[in-house]
Amino acid sequence: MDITGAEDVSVSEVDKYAYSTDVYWVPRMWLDRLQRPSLPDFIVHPESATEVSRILKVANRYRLPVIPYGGGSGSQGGTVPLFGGIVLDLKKMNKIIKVDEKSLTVTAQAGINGQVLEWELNRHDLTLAHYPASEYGATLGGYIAARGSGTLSTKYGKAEDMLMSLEVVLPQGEIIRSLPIPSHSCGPDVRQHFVGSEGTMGVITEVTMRLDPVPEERRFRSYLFSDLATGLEAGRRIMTQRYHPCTIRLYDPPSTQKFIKRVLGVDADGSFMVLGTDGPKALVDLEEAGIDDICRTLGGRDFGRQAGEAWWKQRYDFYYPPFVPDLPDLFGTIESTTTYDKILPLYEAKKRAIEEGYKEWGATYTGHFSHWFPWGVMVYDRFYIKRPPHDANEALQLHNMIWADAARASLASGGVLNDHHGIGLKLGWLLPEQYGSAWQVLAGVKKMLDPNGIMNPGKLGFGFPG
Amino acid sequence: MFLTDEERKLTIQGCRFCPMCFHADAVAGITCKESHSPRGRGLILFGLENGVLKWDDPAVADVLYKSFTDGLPQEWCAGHYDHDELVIDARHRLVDKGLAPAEVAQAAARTVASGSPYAEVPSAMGELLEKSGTTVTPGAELLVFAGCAARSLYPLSPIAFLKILKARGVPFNLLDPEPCCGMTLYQLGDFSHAAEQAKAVAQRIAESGAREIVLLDPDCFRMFTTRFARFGAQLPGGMKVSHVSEWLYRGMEVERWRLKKRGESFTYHDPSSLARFTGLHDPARAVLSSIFDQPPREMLGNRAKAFCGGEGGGMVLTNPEIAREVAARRYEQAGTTGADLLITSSPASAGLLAQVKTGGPIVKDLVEVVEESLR
Repeated sequence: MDITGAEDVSVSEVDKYAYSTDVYWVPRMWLDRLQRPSLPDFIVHPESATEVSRILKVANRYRLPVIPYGGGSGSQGGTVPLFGGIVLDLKKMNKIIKVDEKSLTVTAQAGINGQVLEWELNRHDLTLAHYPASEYGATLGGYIAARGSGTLSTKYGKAEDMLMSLEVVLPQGEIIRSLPIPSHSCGPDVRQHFVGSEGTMGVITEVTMRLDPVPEERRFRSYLFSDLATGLEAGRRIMTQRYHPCTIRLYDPPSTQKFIKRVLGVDADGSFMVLGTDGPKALVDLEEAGIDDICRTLGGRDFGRQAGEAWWKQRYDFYYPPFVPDLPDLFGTIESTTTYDKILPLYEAKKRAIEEGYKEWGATYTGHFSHWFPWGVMVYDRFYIKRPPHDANEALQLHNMIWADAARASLASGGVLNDHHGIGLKLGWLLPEQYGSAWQVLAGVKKMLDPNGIMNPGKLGFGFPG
Repeated sequence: MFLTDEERKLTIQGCRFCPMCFHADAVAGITCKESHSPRGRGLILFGLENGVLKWDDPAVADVLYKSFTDGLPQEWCAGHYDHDELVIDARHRLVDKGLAPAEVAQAAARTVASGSPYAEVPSAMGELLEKSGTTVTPGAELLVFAGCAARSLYPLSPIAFLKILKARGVPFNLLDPEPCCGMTLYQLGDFSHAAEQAKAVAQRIAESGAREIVLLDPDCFRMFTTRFARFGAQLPGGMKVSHVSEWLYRGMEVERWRLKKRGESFTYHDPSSLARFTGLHDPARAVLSSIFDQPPREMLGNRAKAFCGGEGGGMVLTNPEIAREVAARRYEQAGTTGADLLITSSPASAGLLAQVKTGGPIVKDLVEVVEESLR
């Protein structure tokens, strides 16, 4: 209280309860079934890096776990206070420090809400061009701490690609800044110890991001391909011929049937693709024509603009209840990324692992491919089980088994554990397995920066406090 | 009362884990606390329903009375869960249990005693008539209902409207003394006093013999049109109920009023009760378009997605500092448009925005602007 003032510290049971979960299925199920949740001991709302620094020094002195908290919109349990301690809610650190209209950058405190930041940038005819489904709840610091991705990332990149520089409070209280620009030849990149670190390496307190002008034109178009393999090939050609669509969303056949039926009201088999292009009108004309040529060459049936425009307009609607998967169902988004040569086998391996491995539970699997790179693509896939065990511990066990099988199917197929939702509590235990001998690098950095293990213990594979 | 048990259960289930409208909650935007967000409130209500949290924990009332119940989270919600009605319902439970903050009982006592929940002494109707240079016509078809906020916080609105009626030669009547319609008490969860007020107002209106009622306050308009019947208050059959922005628009359209043109730039703040609960975005804009040479410089958040101006949910009574801060943010948003005038169509909004005014646009209620153009 001496650091922030009494009004910015809470020990109330009501507040603790409100900070006991994020969007991760397990703590939600735990609460829903009236099991005892993991509660913090304190919730603190700092307003500056200096306050964060002083709080971390106190936490080290008393070996208190510290859980940095942005929007609480993560789906991996990254903010669940497993061992109690201090939830450090950064949302009061929400100031925009500078919009540089010449260099197209913005510097802001890490706790600013994603939509609020975007509104402010739009006043300058600028955009962060980062449109994750969590935009209305997530914070700028959370974008970076979880390596977030947005619906237009195929052109504009993931949050980490937009990052110019950051200020971080290290676990023992030192305040550091990375170099002011991201491209240089001055040794390893300090930023990368904190990008995706999910609060385990320090507290991101200030961020400078690259911006884009609000595009003159943004258009959407859609095509239906005969099968998933052909759709994947169309996407591969578009990306490897170095077109820059702002979005490519390719739906697998089960998702295609649902999506086209809902949006266009027609029944169709195959793989449906929504494509977006944006920028100066002349450039959009050229890109759209080139992409159209690729799609038609592969037999893509042009469905015009309606489906794509509808998707863009309603892009977040699918993430609101009652449209988003919800309890009592068991579900999870198990997305993974790999290179073009491995993506179809990876998708098929995961589909088998879920649908055949959990046949007795009636498990279903659907996916779409929505973040494309010059070298590969991400499959955004989900599993659903309609009637999981009622007993909370049995449900948890089934959840963990299905996740382990899905994750190991990804790893065995040359994929990675996650593309943009992060690791958190959910996948932390698999991270050493994914990294193999390279894990010692991350573990060594963690040990050096956070010798008392106070920073977000139990997440990202770093185990217990102390 | 306004949510069925099933709707209530579904709304708690919908909100309790969903972070998708944090940006739309005015209190969460100020305090930055999870428990002040729709998700936090939903989860806390789930905990209360299931005995995990206790209703008599003072923090519960603190959380539930920190909400503007302005409808904006629901407007952003693709599932359209009525989070604000859920909060009002929970407040009602607190009132029933005797656990509501003292300000709620104080507001009810003032309403009964003086016809207004506000601490500020309301203007007497005679004072409004005197300042507007008007007189009532007993038994007139048109009844003007000023509302507590206008009488207590911003009497410039009713004075201006009465001057308009005089200028147009429209006979009118007032309820003297004018009772409170109960809207604020409803928002505070005191349904029994709200119902008493609503019934008393309906009775007085019936006795007045009026055929049409014009309401200056959007909250009163919402209460009359969407809540009276549920509180058992029956207006006389065939009674026409209009918000003043509609009434002015109709008058200008039908009677082709000649108004002096104005050259200043302006922006328009949609009060929540017009923005979302009754959908009246256009009449005020149409009236203003016939006065000003320029179209409105629209603010961030307008029409159905207008941000709260700080006057909703009884927050002026229970959490005045937060209410003022929200009003200051709205005023700042108006300032970024570069407009000379910030016009709204709500005495409560005009009053609060005028209180937080700094060096930016001049704050006016719609009726003041029309009255100035009629001179």
